[in-house]
Amino acid sequence: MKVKMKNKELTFSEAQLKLEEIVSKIESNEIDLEALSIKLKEAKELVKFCEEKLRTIEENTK
Amino acid sequence: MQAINLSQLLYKIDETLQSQFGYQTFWIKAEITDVKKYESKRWCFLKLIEKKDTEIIAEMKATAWSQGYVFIEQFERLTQQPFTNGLQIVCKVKVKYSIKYGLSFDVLEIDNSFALGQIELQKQATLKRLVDESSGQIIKVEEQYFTPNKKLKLPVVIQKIALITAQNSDGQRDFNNELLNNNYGYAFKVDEYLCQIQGDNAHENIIKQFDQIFVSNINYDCVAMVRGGGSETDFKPFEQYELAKLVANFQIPVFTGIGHDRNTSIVDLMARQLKTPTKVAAHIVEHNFMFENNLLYQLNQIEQNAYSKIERAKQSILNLKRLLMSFDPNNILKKGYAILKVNNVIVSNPSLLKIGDEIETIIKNKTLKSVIKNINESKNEE
Repeated sequence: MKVKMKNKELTFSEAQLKLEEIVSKIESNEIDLEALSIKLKEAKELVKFCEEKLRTIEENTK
Repeated sequence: MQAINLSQLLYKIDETLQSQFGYQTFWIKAEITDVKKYESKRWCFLKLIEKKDTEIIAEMKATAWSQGYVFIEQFERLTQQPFTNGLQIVCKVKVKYSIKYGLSFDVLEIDNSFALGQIELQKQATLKRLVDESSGQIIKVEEQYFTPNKKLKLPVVIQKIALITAQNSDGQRDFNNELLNNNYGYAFKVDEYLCQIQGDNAHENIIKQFDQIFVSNINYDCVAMVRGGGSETDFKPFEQYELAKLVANFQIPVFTGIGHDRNTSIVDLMARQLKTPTKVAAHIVEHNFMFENNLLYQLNQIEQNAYSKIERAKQSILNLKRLLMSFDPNNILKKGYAILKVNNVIVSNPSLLKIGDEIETIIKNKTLKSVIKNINESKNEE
């Protein structure tokens, strides 16, 4: 699954930032129970995206 | 006029020189040039010269036979530089004359502590110049050098690498093997910028490769400059001012793995030094592993946190359910308690009851109707 932000594929740094944001929101109880599973799913997708990206090199990376 | 043979005159010269110098030896300071080494024979032919400004004012042929060659090998081992033209040396010589080959010196010994001192002086002068001419960009703190290049932040993941190395060298092979066959399956894009990285003009070749990287406009994550194999002594290019200055200011982080185990070259000091090609590659792989590991740690934190929140919510609902159940009258009846009604109203104030009232008693699964015959006051009054 490709994770995209405003139609632009995320960089590693952006993915990491988003993940850190989720951690901080969950830890500070800013996310209610309904949103929790959505955030959990989002976090899993972000990690999967990074893991795939680490193992793939796109051509014409300029 | 009586002429003598050439050899007769030359023998006279030989005799004169012998009587004057015999087996005397002299320590002299000179620059070396026209160096020709025959490694298999362990001979070295050279010229010893003395300059005033740029003009040569004295010159003598010299030969280091195996006795002197030992010191040349020692020189190269100690200084990690080739014994080559342009070096200032202090050596012990003996005057030698041959009627066939003329006058020359035999080099018997080389004072390598002088050579080391000269090289160190030169190195310190180059480092000082780098700092002095950098307008505050290169700073020395104790023995560490802080350069614009070393201050550049590495991207969180390194994938696009510009590799400067010599074609078909051990360095090229070791780096690529370690990087591309990494245990984690990480993918990398390595563009090779190949050039000769040892020899007199090697630093110029390397500078050209940095220029190529710059003009390529490719957004490289780092530059890896590696060498391995080849001469164990020729690190001179990495002591050059121009290359060191370029590396110090290069706008892409530079890793060096130039097989320099004992000493650190000036270029190493201006960049991120990792000693060998394999270590540079392993460091890059480790860098990406740290990123992935951190992601997994964060995901684990999120999961742990989310699961414990859900578990706590479940527990609190369960507690509420238990509390509610404990209030359910049916559950109370099951425990042997009874509900008393008069005129279909639950009796909550027993003082209103009187003899003759018809009461309805609800117990588990039964409703009993009865009439009050007697009322005794209970001692367990609340």
